Amino acid sequence: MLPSLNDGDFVCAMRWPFRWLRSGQIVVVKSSTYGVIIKRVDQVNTDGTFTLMGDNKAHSVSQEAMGKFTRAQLLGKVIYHTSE
Amino acid sequence: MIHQLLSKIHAVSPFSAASAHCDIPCKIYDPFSAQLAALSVIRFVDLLNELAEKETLTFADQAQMSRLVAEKETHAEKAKQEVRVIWGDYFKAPQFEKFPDTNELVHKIMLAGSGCKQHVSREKAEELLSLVNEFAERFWATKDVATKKATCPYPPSEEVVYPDL
Repeated sequence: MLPSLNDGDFVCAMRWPFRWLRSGQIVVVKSSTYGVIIKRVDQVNTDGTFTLMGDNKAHSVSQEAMGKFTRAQLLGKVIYHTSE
Repeated sequence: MIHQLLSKIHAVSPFSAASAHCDIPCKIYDPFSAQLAALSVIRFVDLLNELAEKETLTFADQAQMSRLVAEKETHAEKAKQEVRVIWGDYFKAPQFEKFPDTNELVHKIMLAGSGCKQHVSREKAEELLSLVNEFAERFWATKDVATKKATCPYPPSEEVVYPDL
């Protein structure tokens, strides 16, 4: 998630209603494949799913690999972060 | 200052971690190791067939035969394993959606690999390479990478699918 987030940054995330989810927000998500991940929301779909993307385009896991996520997997939205 | 404070708290009572860039479980996936293994199987079969044409086998020939059979076994298994890893770890719902008969292809590769172990057969070895090439073409297509076919510049000089990067 460079350059927005760096390794070792601390973030504060709060539970976030799915209906408030918007493209561009940084969220914390539970992925069955990758564990707990922090990414940026790409698209929010009307069927209760959403897709994610990484800010570091050159090295991010692809959207295809991550697949779609459901509202149940949304752990929260990042409301604060601090870097070293 | 806040980061320093949080770091101190984290050292004593760790916060949960969230990953943004996957080093693990992401791996570098490339079907070429499976293709190389299949090419090797063909090569070992050719060398075994050369030995088979001899009227008598010297002790050295028999030792060589043992080595070739062992390496054929190892490389046929390697081809199976490399494909299994890409199928099991890389292929996810979006890839299966794009290629719904992937499971069938992978199963054919498993059977072809076993056939190569059980027999000294050029035909079976070529079949393994053909199926692994098909798998490679599919793998690159899931990444929207075009592929080309070329004859590998070393024995057994068979056609191989390469990514057109």
